[in-house]
Amino acid sequence: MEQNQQSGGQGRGRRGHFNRGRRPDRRPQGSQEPRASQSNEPQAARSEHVDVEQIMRDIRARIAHRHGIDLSTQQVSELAARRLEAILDPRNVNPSLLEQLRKAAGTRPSRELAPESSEPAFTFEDSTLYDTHRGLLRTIRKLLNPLLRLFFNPNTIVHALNTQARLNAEHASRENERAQQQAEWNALHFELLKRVVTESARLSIELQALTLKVESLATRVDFADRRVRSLEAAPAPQRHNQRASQDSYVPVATPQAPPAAAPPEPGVGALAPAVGSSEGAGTEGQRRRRRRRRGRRSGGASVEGNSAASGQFSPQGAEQDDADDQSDESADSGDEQTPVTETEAPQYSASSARDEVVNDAPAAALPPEEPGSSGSAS
Amino acid sequence: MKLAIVVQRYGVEINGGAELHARYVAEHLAHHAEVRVLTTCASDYITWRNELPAGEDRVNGIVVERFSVSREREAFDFSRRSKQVFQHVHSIQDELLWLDSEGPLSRGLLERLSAGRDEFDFVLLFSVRYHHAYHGARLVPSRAVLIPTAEREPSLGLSVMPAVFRGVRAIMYNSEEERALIRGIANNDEVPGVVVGVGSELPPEWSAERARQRFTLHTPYVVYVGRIDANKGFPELFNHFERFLTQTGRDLTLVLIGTPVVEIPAHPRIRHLGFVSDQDKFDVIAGSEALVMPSYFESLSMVALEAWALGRPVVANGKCDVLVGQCLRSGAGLYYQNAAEFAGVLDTLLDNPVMAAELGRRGQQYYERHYSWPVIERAYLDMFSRLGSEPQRSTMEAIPGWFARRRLDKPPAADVVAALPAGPVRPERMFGRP
Repeated sequence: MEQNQQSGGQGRGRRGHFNRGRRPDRRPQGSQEPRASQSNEPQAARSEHVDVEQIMRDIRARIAHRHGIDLSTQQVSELAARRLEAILDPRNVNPSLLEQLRKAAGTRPSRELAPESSEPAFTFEDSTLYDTHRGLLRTIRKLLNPLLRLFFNPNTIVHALNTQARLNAEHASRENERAQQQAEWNALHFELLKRVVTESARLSIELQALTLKVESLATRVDFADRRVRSLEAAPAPQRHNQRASQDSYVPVATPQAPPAAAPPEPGVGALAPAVGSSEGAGTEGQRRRRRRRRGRRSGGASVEGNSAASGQFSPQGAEQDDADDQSDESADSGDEQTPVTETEAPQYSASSARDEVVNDAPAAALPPEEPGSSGSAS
Repeated sequence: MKLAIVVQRYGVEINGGAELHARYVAEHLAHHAEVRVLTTCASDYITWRNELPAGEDRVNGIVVERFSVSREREAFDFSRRSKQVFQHVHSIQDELLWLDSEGPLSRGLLERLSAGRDEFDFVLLFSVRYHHAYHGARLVPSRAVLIPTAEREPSLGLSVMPAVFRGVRAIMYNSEEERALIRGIANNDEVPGVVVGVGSELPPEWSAERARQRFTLHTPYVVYVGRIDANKGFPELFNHFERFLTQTGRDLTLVLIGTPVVEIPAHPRIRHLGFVSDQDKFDVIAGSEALVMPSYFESLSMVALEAWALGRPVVANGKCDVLVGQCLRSGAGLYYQNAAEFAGVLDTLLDNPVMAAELGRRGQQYYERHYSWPVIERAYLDMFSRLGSEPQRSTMEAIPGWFARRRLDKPPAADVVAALPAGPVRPERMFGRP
């Protein structure tokens, strides 16, 4: 599919520049067929050995060609990294926070980031109030404990402190977990941001390529519009008259033809006697030369039609063309009677070259012609 | 010769990759040796719940001894321990507890193996990441032939694993990539190893026309066979395929065979056939334009081999080293890394039927040359013969002592695996057979 598009699209484009006035069907058939077969199958598949890597390279090249960009993923990532630097401007964002985010994105958040402090600062049990490292003292306190309980109830204090210790531990654990979650979220956010920037960088490159493509297509559409307008505006009878005026020279070369003042017959009918006469007199090479000259003249006539339609027709130009035609035709008739000499040929070439110079500007603006359309006039 | 095959689950109805692999190997080696399968009573790989009766059984003529699982897997505990050993600095004790938590923990199975260590000439242990294979290899190292079925996953980076890879008698690898990975992690060049893989049980005949009629598949299609799961790269495949259809407007259907775990989008060009018979599966593959394998991690894709056996090309996920390596070595598959490449690959295959046929033909050759059963059986028998004539050159390293086991100095396993060299093994870099 891709290859078909390429062969079709490029072929038309080339004809517009290089093959103007030539018939594409004159090319040897053999030279086109191998090209078609080359483009229809990837390079790696043609050979006996199927090289998977080569096929993949072909596919990637086609994708790059279609997207209009030839940047690798690595290059896009680098571009995105630069954009990310621009977004995360250190003047606006705390550099230490930025560095922390980068580190967090690069490494998995670990418990080292938020050291675990779930171990309670102290444990408070029933015996804690009376605890001591001195065994004797501990015994005395134990003995006097009932006496102490006569004055107040220490169990309430023990219970309260015990609960507080537990709450402290739970709070520390929650804090630790929250800090870790925050670190994970930060890492995730930074990673997401990086991916979004990478994607936007890739999309902007694609957008640029597509914009260029749209511009190119718009130009081609514009050319096509201009060509359609010019063809629609060209009056058909004028063309016939011009062609008739060209064909009216034919009787000059042939004594049997009616006088030049007689109304010319348009089209092939008018041409037929000339061909017949040339068949009798000239060789195949002379006939080909004559056709080429008439082809050039007919190209000039069509352009004159264009200029007439646009109001730029000048009688001087027409007279000049007529004079050229007459001189060409006299040379042409001379061809039929006598072989063309080397000195005659440049004169003819000069006039036809001038025609081409005159025709060049509008022709260059025209879209490429269909193959064989230029040949139909002769 | 007497062989024991130790595997986590076993049965005709169990279709996990390693389990099917074990069953095929058991049934084919039974032509050459006395084979006995030692397995658990579990049939669910998530819970390891005892669902099959303990005791002796026969499956396709093979004697199977089932042992009950001592402790079912607790999802929360397993998840917590996995996080600990994969993502944090941890100790060897943490890793051993992770193995216990992962299971299947069957004390009866290990006792049987320990008691009958002289009963078998060789003990073939499947799937090193599971409890039975790790501890089984440590119990009978001089007879242990390990079939690791290892993928590029974090459990491979546990610090207790290299000792097993260095201490067993031999290793039968599934792919060159698996061998490179294990050698990278364990530096076990002295342990005899060969890349074998596994064949498939192809039906005597298959018909693409029959599949078209039976499932009304009248337009070109690509097929996936297996579990339709996020781990298999599925949401991504759906996304790529829908984008391909939108961009190209092609008349192509994605046919899915297997159990869905993720939701399948309701799209007229995505057909889910559910669970089908083996014959239907082969018919559908034979009628496809290509088999799509979107999985990120595979140690060996049996479905890909089956597609190649039927002469169909494979479209693989380019992020899976094993699949890419197989595509390169066989010259029978293409791969993609993003939606554009996926579309490009499908376009290429659909636009160039000659090339697609050539890829399929090469796949068929590759399968016959390396994965047909006579080749696989010969590789096993050659290895047994070599081990019988060679003394063991390595010994199993002991587990460290009480204090050393509890030292918090082991790096996160995921980081260890991430640091390993990656990429497919190209034909010119192969050690032995592909």
